[in-house]
Amino acid sequence: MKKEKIKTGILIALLLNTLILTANVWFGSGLWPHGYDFFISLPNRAFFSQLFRKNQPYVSPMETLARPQRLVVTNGANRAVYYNSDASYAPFYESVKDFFYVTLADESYISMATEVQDAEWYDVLRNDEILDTRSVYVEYSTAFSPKLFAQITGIAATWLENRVSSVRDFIIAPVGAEGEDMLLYIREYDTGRIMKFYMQYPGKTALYQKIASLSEDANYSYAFELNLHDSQVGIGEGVEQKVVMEPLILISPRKTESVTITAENPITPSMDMDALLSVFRYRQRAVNRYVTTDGTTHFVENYGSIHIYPDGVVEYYAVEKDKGVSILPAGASAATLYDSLNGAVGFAAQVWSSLVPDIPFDALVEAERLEESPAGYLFTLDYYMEGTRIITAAQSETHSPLQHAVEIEVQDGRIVRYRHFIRRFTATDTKVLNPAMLEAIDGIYAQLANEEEKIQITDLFLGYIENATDAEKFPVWCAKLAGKESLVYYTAS
Amino acid sequence: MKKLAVCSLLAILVLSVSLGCLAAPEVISAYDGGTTYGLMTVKKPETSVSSTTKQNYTLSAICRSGVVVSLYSYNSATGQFYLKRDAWGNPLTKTVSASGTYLQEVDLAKETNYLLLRAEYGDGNYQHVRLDITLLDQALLDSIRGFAANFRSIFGGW
Repeated sequence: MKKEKIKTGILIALLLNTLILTANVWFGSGLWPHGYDFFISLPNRAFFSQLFRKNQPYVSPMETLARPQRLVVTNGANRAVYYNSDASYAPFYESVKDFFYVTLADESYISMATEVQDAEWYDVLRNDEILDTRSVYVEYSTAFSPKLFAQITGIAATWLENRVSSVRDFIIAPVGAEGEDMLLYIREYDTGRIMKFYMQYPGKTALYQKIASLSEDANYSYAFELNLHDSQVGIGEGVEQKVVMEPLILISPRKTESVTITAENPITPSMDMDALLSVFRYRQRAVNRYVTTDGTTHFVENYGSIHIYPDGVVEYYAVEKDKGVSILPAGASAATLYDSLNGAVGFAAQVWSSLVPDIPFDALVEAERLEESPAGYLFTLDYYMEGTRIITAAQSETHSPLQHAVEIEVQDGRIVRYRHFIRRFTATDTKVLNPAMLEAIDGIYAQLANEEEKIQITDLFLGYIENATDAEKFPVWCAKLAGKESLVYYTAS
Repeated sequence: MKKLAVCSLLAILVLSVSLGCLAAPEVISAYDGGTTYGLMTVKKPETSVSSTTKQNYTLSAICRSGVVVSLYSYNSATGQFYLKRDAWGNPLTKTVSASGTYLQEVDLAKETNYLLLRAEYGDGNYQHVRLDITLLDQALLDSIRGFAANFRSIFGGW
């Protein structure tokens, strides 16, 4: 009797072992290492993709998308600028996020709404005259439809859809000496129309106190406060304005200090690529792997190929648009802009985490306007280092130039082309004094003086340039000019 | 050798004379209205008499390139304008570059600040612009606004 029990036990153990090993062979390492593999297509199926995603690193693309690029807080004569991911950004961002989350979801918070002129928009931001001068200016790196904006901020539905067609920047301003009410100004991105809403926000006291507690001042002025935008006012005449600035460019006469950063390619030839292949739903033994003489590693599979270049560029191409990597959530029947964007940013964060697991993915979507497009989407992201944008200029003889940290082409909810310039950035202990903004304006104008008599600067900011050549990166002034595609740089000689 | 020394001396003399022409005078009479116009347009403040709540005030102007712009403040005891200097004793004088943009930060006193901007060109012509900027107290403004708000609430939305 005892013998029978032992035999039964051994049989059950053997049976289980067989099942486990069979499952491992089927789903773990593939049956056909060098040929057609039926199972490789499973992770791309909507149902199975959820199972395979469980083991991938956690990322929250929505959090990345919901972060405004900059917050400008004005409290009377004091003004501070917080860029996404710099140390002081989070407390104000939390307040702004809560304000949006509460008030944009429910129209009953609006006590009055009206359309106003541009002058009022600027007067609310102004802090140099006898005006009610407390405000938070919220600016995103791209323009959204109200629906998309609501989705990325975590609101199921918003009344914004009935009021404006697109949003990119907002002003939140307390009304009255103690912040009795809150004003919300929204500028419609497509038309420039400005809407003003009186909001009955329950957290108004806390938000007012947050703004009123600001005591730092880096002496930033908006270009419109200095009348350096397209303005005819002034004392005296007969001098032509050669440099016209966008009204909301922030100008400081002071020199600012920045840290230098180093950039390192974390991909080494001996690096284990299992995690990366898993993000692309590849299984290592189911793909052809070879290295060409230029040092590029290629992973070729039935429906696509991954190329890892020696300078740190990771490329993926699907053979056909319906064979790309699915990024749609389970149950989604159609690829909306939000699902595509959310999935693409999440995918980029997963690629990043698979290669640089110890550092969070700090990147923002860079685009003028994000809108629904049946033909598909091309999303671009740029790295940020403590709020400072990193301009990518990856050039190589083996791959086409890459102007952004990440380029993702999405069609019908699938990634069909993906390019990512992998770099690990580290702040050094070295601090440098940046050239003053005026010096940068002079330098940029001097570069173009032979071409144009008058220039219009639409954006001016400090950024690092990563071109895979220099080890240490110093901040440089970057100008976006009207009528020019590429940025113009200025560095101190 | 002698010729070389003479030439060097002459060169130094010529250079120092030209520098002297462009150097901003230390004192300017309140009655000196300048010799020309069209060298500079002051963009901020927008008017000769203005008020602000901002102590760290930024002046802006657009100028002809190459113009030397200096900032002066009025001394009521002497009735003259004196060249302002920064905390290190350097004169607030700038040569405007190619873009023609001029910016100058100035720390305003809590009263009316009588200032003068002088733009001087290489040919010796110069333009003066007088600026009277009054610095107002933000706390006082807040009190006035608070009083106005209470007044409105008492008298039913006046």
